[in-house]
Amino acid sequence: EVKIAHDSPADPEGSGTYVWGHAFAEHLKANGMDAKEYERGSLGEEAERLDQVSQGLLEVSMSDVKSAGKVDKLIFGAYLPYLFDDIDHLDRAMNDAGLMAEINKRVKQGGIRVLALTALGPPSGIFNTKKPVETVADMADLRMRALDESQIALFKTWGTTGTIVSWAEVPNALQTGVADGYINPVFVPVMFGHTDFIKYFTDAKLTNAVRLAIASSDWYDGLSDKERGIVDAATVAATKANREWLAARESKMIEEVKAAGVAVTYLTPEARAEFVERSKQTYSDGVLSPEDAKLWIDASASTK
Amino acid sequence: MRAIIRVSDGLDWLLRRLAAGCFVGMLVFVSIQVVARYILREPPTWTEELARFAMVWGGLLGATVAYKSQYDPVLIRLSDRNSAFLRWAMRLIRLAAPPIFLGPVLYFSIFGPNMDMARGFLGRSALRTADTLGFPMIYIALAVPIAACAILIHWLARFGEEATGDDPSID
Amino acid sequence: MGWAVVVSMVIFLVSGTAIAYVAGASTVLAYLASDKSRYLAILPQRIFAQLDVFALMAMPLFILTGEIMNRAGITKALIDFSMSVVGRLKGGLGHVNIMTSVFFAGISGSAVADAAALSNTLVPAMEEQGYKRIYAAAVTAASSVIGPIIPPSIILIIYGALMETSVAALFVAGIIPGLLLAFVLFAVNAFYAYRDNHPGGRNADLPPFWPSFVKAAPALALPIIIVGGIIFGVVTPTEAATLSVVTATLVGMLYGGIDRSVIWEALTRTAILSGAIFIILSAVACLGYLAGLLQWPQQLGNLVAAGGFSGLEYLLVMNLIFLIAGMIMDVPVALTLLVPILAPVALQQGIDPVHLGIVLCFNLCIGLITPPLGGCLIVTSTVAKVNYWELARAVLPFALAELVVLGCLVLIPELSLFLPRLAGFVSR
Ligand code: NA
Ligand code: NA
Repeated sequence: EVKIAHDSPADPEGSGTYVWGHAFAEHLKANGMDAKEYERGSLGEEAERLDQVSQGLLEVSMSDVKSAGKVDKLIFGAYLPYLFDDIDHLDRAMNDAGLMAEINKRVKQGGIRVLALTALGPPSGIFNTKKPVETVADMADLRMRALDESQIALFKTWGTTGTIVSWAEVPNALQTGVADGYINPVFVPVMFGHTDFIKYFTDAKLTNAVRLAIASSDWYDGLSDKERGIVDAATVAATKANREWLAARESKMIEEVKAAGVAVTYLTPEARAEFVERSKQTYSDGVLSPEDAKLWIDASASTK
Repeated sequence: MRAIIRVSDGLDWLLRRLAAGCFVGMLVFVSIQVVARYILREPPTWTEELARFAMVWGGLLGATVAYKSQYDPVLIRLSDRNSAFLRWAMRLIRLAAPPIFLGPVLYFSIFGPNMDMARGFLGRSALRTADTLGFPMIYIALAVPIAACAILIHWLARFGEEATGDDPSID
Repeated sequence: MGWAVVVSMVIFLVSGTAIAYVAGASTVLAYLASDKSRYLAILPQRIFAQLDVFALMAMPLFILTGEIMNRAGITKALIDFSMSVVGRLKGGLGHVNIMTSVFFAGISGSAVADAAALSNTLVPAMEEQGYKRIYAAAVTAASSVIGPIIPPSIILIIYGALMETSVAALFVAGIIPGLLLAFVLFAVNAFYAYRDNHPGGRNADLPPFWPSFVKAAPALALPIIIVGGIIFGVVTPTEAATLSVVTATLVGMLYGGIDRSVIWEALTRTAILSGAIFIILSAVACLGYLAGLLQWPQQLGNLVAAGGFSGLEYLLVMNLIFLIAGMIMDVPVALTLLVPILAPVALQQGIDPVHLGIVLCFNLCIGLITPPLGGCLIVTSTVAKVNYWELARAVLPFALAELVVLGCLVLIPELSLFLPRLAGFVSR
């Protein structure tokens, strides 16, 4: 039996990762394999699901990028700001320029295998509680909630500061002013109920909003050739379903955030150029080693 | 038996101090986080994670101290008026619970599938890096088997005391 | 299979095994009985993940605050001052206890953590004023339920996120039910104050107002700094717990009540109390995984769906399930697992999501103080060192009063919806 652990509500309209997991399960079932979907939370949070996958106790998990990143950091390159034009470009770099193969070579020691990148929605942008952000200069007096070192580095090149707040306390921190904003995909404030205090969104299109589908490498390697063929085909089918979902949903997600009372700002070409230029300074001093960063930069250039 | 009891007592002396130290650490790391937010342009990113880790260590070591000092809450306490046989049976059942719970915890901390130590909980966490601190997660993960092991040592000592003593207290 | 767990639990319980080891050992046996022994390999990671949570830190930190306050004479100064204000009322300190919950609790998101924090300060203080320890513990456990209903409330934020319902609307909606609950608890406390002749009242020997105010002034800074720190956005609620330890230590120094032995005793007792609670949380988390693996919540959902309940009936059945869930799970976990399964049907039947949210949160919280197993009962009895069943019995009148309030909330949606409608959050 193939257990597939979801990371989002069973909402085929709203959740791209649900679409991926469900399509994957359906394809396996249609081809005679036994698959069972588990609801979000029922098999534990991120770190636990990663651990179960690495032991072969859970076959497939919809997971965050950090799950693979904990074994090897190379995957974090998918989040380098402004490196890829869109998700197709990222897909080409992963598949045609060999990044996916290199990542899987490295994470195998952790007992996992990255099946696919799963799209969540349009690229991420800047949310805040205080004012419309039209230029880099507007960021100066906003204290941003930072996720990790690379975000702290990014905020520094933008001329502002970050602060570390655990995700569970972000609503409180935003309401009281401990933090003024964060970087996230467009749908996050709506999904997590933050639109009562998040008032401004800048569509800065920083990075593609993606997560991962990971599988147990024990399980995958132990499959018969026929079964592995089915699983590979299921991966292709699920990824296709996910990208089709994205194409259909992308524009609606910005409308939803508007409808929830968040003012949306679009960058002028000049303002965007400044964001791009400053952000690129962080490629070398984020979480990636310079060699790994170069792998990504080259892959991006060769698949433009 | 005496030796086990002495080891258990010494271990408790040490772990009590370490647990208290962890809670002080937790306090310090969160304080740094708050202070850094207002005075540093580049606040350290590791405060939240380090504070959490100090809590995990402190709490789990605290659990060993709680077991040793018999502070773990009990829902039902038996009266002394029961027959000697009943009290003996109850004592055996009571003594069976901690190893049933913590035995698998300890075993699977060390061993993975096919008794492969590299794939046990500790082996797996040695391969994973803490989000911001950059060191392997095994330094934190160790708290789980160490606490389980310490409780089992205290358990052995209590087993010795209850087996040799004539009228063990129910608490 | 479920029976194997229940039977082994009962045997371990009756033999006088500590709760953590009852839950842990029965869980391991249940894995074996349900032929899932392969999955025992997740236990260490499960325990680790259960404890590695930033917000959980509020619990040891507030326990430590209480330890320092009690030992350094801060609690006594605060209580003397409260008595000089409300002492004219019989059972005044019980009222103070309930008021404290209204203002303070619920910020950590875990009613269990709040119960631990408040038990450690208020119970010793009430006992010193002549209340029975068991009664003091009961009032504390019962009023810990108010915190998550009155904003700020992390539980309502979780519900809002799960149901895509406005958190602001939920916060506004929680005000009347929370106050109603507080008044009902005031009434129960007043009843017992007269029946059992609790301290306070017209003829009581009250501390004079001004001297006790002057004495308490530094101690009064403590809650002001904590609450102010959160409201003015200096610290998050968990960080505020740290601020409270630091402030309590400084104020304690001012009172001359802090020395090395006080700090050492406060720290070791914090370690023991937190440790005793952490190991229970760990054991219960291991059982929770098995429940997820065997898809118990989904099966429950199917069972309810098969029952064909409608409208009010369905709401009542849901209440029953959440009441039981609140007994065995922490509130956020129960919400995350059950709300997506059960709530959509309720919404289809025309129940307002805001009304539903208030009812469910209220409900889960009552589950924490009702026997046979209640998280807040376990924690309060551990911290206050009172017998679990005596506490459960002492809480019962309060729990019954809370059930009556719950009934009112279920039957009269306006109690929850009036304010949000006034504020324009609810259109119908
Ligand atoms: Na509250
Ligand atoms: Na209960």
